[in-house]
Amino acid sequence: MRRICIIISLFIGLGVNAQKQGVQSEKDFYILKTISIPTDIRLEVGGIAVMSDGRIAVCTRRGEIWIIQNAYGNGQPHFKRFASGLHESLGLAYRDGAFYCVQRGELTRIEDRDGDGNADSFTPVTLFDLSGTYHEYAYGPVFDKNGDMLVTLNLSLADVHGKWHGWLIKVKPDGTIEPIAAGMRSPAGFNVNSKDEVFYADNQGDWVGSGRVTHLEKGDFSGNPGGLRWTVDPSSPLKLKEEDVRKVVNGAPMHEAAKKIKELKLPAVWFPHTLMGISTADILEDNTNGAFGPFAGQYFVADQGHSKIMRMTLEKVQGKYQGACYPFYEGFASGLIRLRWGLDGSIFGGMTSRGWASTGKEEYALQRLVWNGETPFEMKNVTALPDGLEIEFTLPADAAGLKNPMNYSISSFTYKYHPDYGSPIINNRARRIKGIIPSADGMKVKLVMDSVLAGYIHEIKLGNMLSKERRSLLHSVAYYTMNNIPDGAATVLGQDQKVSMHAGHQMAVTTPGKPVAPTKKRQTKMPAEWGQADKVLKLGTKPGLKYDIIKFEVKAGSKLRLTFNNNDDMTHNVVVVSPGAADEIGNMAINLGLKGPEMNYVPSSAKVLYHTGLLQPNSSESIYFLAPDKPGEYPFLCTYPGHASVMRGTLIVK
Amino acid sequence: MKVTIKPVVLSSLFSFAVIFAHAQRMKPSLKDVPLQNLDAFQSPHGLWQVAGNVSAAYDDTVLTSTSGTGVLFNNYNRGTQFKPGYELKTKVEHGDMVLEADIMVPRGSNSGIYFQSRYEVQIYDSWRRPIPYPSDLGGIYERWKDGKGYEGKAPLVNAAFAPGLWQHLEVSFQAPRFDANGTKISPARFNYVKLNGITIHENIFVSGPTRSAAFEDEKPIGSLLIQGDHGQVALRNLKWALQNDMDVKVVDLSYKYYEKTAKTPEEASRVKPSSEGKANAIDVRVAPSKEEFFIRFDGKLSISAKDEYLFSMFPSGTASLEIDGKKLIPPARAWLNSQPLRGTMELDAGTHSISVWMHKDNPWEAAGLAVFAERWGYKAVPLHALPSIPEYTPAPLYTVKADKRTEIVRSFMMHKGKKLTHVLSVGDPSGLHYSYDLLQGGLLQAWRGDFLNTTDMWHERGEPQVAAPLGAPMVLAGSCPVFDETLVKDSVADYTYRGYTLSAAGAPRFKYIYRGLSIVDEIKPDEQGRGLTRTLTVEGGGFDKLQLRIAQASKISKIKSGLYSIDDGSYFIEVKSGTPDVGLYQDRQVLLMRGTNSITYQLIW
Repeated sequence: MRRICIIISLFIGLGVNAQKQGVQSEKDFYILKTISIPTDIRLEVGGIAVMSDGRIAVCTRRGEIWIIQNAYGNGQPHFKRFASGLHESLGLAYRDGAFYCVQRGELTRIEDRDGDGNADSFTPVTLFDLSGTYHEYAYGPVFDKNGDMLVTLNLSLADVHGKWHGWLIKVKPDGTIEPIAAGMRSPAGFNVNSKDEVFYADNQGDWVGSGRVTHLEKGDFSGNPGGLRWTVDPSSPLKLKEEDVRKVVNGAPMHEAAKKIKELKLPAVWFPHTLMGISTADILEDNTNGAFGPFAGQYFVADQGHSKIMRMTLEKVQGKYQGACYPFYEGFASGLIRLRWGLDGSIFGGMTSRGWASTGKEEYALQRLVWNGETPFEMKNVTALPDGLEIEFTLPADAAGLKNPMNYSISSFTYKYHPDYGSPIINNRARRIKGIIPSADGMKVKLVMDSVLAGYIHEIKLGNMLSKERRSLLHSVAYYTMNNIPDGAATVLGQDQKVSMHAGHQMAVTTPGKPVAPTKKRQTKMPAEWGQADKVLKLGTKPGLKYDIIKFEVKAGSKLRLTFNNNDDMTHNVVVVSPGAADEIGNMAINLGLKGPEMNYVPSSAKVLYHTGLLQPNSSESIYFLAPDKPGEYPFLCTYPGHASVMRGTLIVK
Repeated sequence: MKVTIKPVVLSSLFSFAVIFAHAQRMKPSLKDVPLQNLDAFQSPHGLWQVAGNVSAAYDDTVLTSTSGTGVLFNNYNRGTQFKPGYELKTKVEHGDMVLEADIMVPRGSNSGIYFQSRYEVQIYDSWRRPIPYPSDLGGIYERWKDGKGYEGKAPLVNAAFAPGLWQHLEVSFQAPRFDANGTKISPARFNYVKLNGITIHENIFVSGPTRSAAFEDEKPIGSLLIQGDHGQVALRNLKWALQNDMDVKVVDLSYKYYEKTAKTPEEASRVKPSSEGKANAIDVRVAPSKEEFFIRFDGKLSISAKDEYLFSMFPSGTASLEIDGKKLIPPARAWLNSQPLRGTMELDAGTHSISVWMHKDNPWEAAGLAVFAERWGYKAVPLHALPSIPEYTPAPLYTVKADKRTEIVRSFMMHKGKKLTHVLSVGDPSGLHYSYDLLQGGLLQAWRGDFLNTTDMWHERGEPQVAAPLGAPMVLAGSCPVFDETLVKDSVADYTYRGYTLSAAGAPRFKYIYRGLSIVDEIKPDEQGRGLTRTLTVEGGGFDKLQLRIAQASKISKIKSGLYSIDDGSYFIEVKSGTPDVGLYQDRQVLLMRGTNSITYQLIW
């Protein structure tokens, strides 16, 4: 009987999806407005300060501060240059009639004393030491409740380091520096929330397995030991040294290392790489009291590489912050690094992509995201139970979908903590749901698990759930970082709340680290009977997600060697597909989700003919295959998420 | 000096450019033309002399010489104007060549250097001329026919300094080429001409002798000629190198390529190569993998004349060169854009064995391998195929112009080989600009023309983050304006930067605190465009003990009351009120003003 109910509810779900009312997109709830920038201004946004008189001030990587009128309106905005001569300014604040701007090497107070609309006074609040390498950016300032300024300093990638780089520091109005926390690598965005707590985002890189947001308190070490050389300074709140970290680190997850390094602060929320962005940047706390939608009190996190905003929720478990991240809105015009609230509860997004490719193809942009008043059907909040997870929705969910075990899939995984750049996903395992307890009003559901893993990230994937009003779920995935498991008694399950052993998705347990053996579609050694290849195809890349050669002409059935040299600074592959199948295979690759990396983002499909593995920057691979017998145009493309639509070529078989 | 004439096809003009671009980074070593006497020159007229030094104020029409040697000086007078016989010609005749010299003229003077006695680079007092003409300093003079001038080439920018200062000229010249019948098949050309450090011509062809050349025909070689009948001129540090073609080549070359299976020749000898074969030239393209590999080339080097030969290598990893079994370049690591690995050896005419190997292990760098052979007096010959160096597109130019209003740019900046991290550059619509070290309040350099080259800041990530002048820079000591002779390292630790305010015109006034004193530093273009005016004002008691440092250089000499020549003719300092002292700081001289609360001085160049 139950099986029939499940099948019927599935059909209902599918049927309703075909109706227009069911299928929704982000644009049905939030409107992205573009502030038109005059053609002679290169507004590579570094910082934004929202002024109380209706104007917006923007500081740029070209060292200028522009003040914009009518940024909220619908007509042409008016730009006026207020200041210039700053060295790549990446942060701006306005307070008591003065601008505070962070540039390379200085936190500067900028004023217009004679009132003519042009800055005429530039005073250093404090200078920052610089080693002369390009990666030592400075971000901020953000004022705390005391009127002190918080600044984060990027780590140099070279052997030389300026003082306090890799740190969060507090600068007092008189310019004295109080170091707060170390361990940062690329702290391009941080937030001081309404409780005066500091959260910062770091990007995948050396020692950083994936993007993440960490709560910083005085004396914390957030993971990258490059800045620990400054703990010798008497004002340093921690004494930890890089050697102390290296002694302990062995590739085990951060959660294990934290047991041995007491200063190590675990991230509150991990943003799994390529699934939830690739370069987490600025963070905003929603203190708009509902003016920006149903997420009051939550956080919005920008991603530069994927030109999007994600959402984050936090709770305290065992006295420490942890929480979840969710997709929110994608489609910004360029690399989104800066977010600030407008006076009306809209979000201003400042963007630049020079030097780092982004999904949004513009070189720079300034846009504003506005809520249209409609409430989307979303997972509003995921919180931890002593034995599972609870999901709260923004709208009441349809009862049948809510209690259907086929609609839930949970798995857990983590990252290595090691000096290397980034980390693969490790220990990815499906988790079994043993009970589902929906709330009476349909707003919540408790998922009781066989076990949850402390220290692990839990992926929650929902199926085609509907709200009571037949709206589809706008985003169906969330990632909860379960640093600690809450205390409490195990949940008691009623008979109708139990889930049978065989229901639910069962994902294969993957063994981490095993190399994929060469397959028929990926032969990396020349077949012995060939003697030699008839033709060698040499393929490389060009900046901007492109192959350097987009057309190869080959004879049908000929012996081919394809050598792909990835001379780019991003990961790529080459996948040869059947004629006309490029879009389909590209989309299938994106939907591989967590399994993507181990499958080299090559979907299982008969339309995939030949492919290389995933190549890290500056590595190469050669594959051997016979050109198809049937003449035609066979596309080849990179199926790494975000690349497939632009990174393509054609193998013309004659 | 015999020159090998080789038939050259016109299209190879541009292939020369490709080789040359890389060879240019290897500046040939130049030899001094001795100026102890006039022996290097043919029958010099008595007006040509050798002097110890020459000097002048910027408004003097006549140079003052002191006795001695090392400076070539033409004591021209009005009576000899435009008369033949006053030119100075070298005994040595040249074809292709590279030359450098310091040149000084007094106010209004005129001279020229004729390459092969035929192609003139103009010498002139072009100080403060807003638009340069072919007749201005560094211009390639026009040709002359039927009473009219044509085809002159003006310098890209007016890089001239004031008269009475030494100005640095660098020229790379290529003679016309002729076929076996003596028919000209490619024109004379200037590969580059640089004045005071800035390029004013690059890859310019000259169709024939320019006006007032010594000859109307063209030949493979000719003497260097300096004009002597138009005005006074002085030269010092005259150096050159002939750049004749030489016959050196590799023959019977074979290669072995090891894909990730060897790191050294010893390891390579123990495994089978991934591929091997014959090669026409040393060529990195035998390596299909660009990531990690080991390659070696073995063959014969054919030398046509006994001499000392210099070999230079630009590898992309660890490389070594052996000739006749000798490790001429021992294994060392270098990159395509760094200084080359070098080794010198005397070689007899004939055939020698040559081996080159390279191990590339850094996947982040492009693969390439270039090997050049050089001999003094001859152009470097590539022993590699042109495509062995990867294709390289220069970044497009990013600039900031200050045509309409004062512009300020903050950046990193190179100063005397060091990278400074807190530097402000100020561009003025008058065309006079400067760069300023905020940490020490030091004036770093000043220049005329367009403002700033910001390509290395704004192209892609801008990894160097350095800005550079768009005009010929006058590089200064960059020292802190307060002077303390007890300092061991020349930097004043307690000179504290307090920011700047902007005038109505947008020009900064810098503020510093030093031992309780407040110091304001203001720099403005001189109204007559002669240079910059700097005013330092001290507020607060105790300034009577302060020493303000106006200049620091190896040599400071007084030209006349209030006018000083700094660094033996690099630039002038003029002080209208107050008398500076010349003091000593370690091995340098300093110009100091003591006990005053405000000084103003002029930087003139």
